[in-house]
Amino acid sequence: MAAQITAKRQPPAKKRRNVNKIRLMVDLGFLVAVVIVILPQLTGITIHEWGGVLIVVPLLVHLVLDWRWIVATTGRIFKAQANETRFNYILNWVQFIVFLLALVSGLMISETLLPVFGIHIQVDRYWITIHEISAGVFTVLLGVHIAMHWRWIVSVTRRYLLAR
Amino acid sequence: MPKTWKEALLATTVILVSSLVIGIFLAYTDQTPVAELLRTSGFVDVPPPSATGLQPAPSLVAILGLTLRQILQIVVPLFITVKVLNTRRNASRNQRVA
Repeated sequence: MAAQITAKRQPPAKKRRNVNKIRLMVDLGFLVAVVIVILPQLTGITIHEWGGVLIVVPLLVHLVLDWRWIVATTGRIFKAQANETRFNYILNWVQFIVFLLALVSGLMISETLLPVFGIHIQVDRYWITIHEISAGVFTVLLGVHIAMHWRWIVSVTRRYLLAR
Repeated sequence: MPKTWKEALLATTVILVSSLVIGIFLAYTDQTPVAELLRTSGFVDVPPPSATGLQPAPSLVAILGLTLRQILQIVVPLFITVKVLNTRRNASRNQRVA
């Protein structure tokens, strides 16, 4: 209760700073998780599969934290706005779809995750190819996605992680 | 963050429907001539097994090479996009100043 009252009394600028800090931490954790998941040759297939599914959680938090932007941009996507914003919006959708492709195809070739639940699937090379292509495209799009927010990343990293 | 239940419901629906559409698409293409064509074209052929019938363990160099490739897959587009964006933003700023 006391925490709620304190939160209500916070000035908007401080609230914004807190949200930015949370966003930075979530995104950093998300990036580390993605890097761990995309390197099964180093981390092993078990971590790859469980991590690939559990990574949905930070993804949803990432989406929730940026929800206002998603709603606002969706509402004016066909109206006059900066090309960069429009590109960013479309890129995010493509990346989301490619992520789902990688997730679904990954489940179809699961070796350790689904058998835990008693589900055994005959692995087909077709699904492996879909998984490899979608995962490859996802990593490229991830680089572009980070670049689109590079200035923000540099700014908040300096403010919250490198500040003395 | 979603401010109303309506928004949250809409987002959940979009995610579920997208997953469903992709799932159906993949399940459908798996049964179509396209999938067969991909399989028979050699593009998705199963690699020949080794003499023992087991996949040979990848060497350390192969593992490191693959890791480097995957890291570069993120870093190179990142670098190029940052460069392109900076160039565009600078050009736009110069145009406004002029």
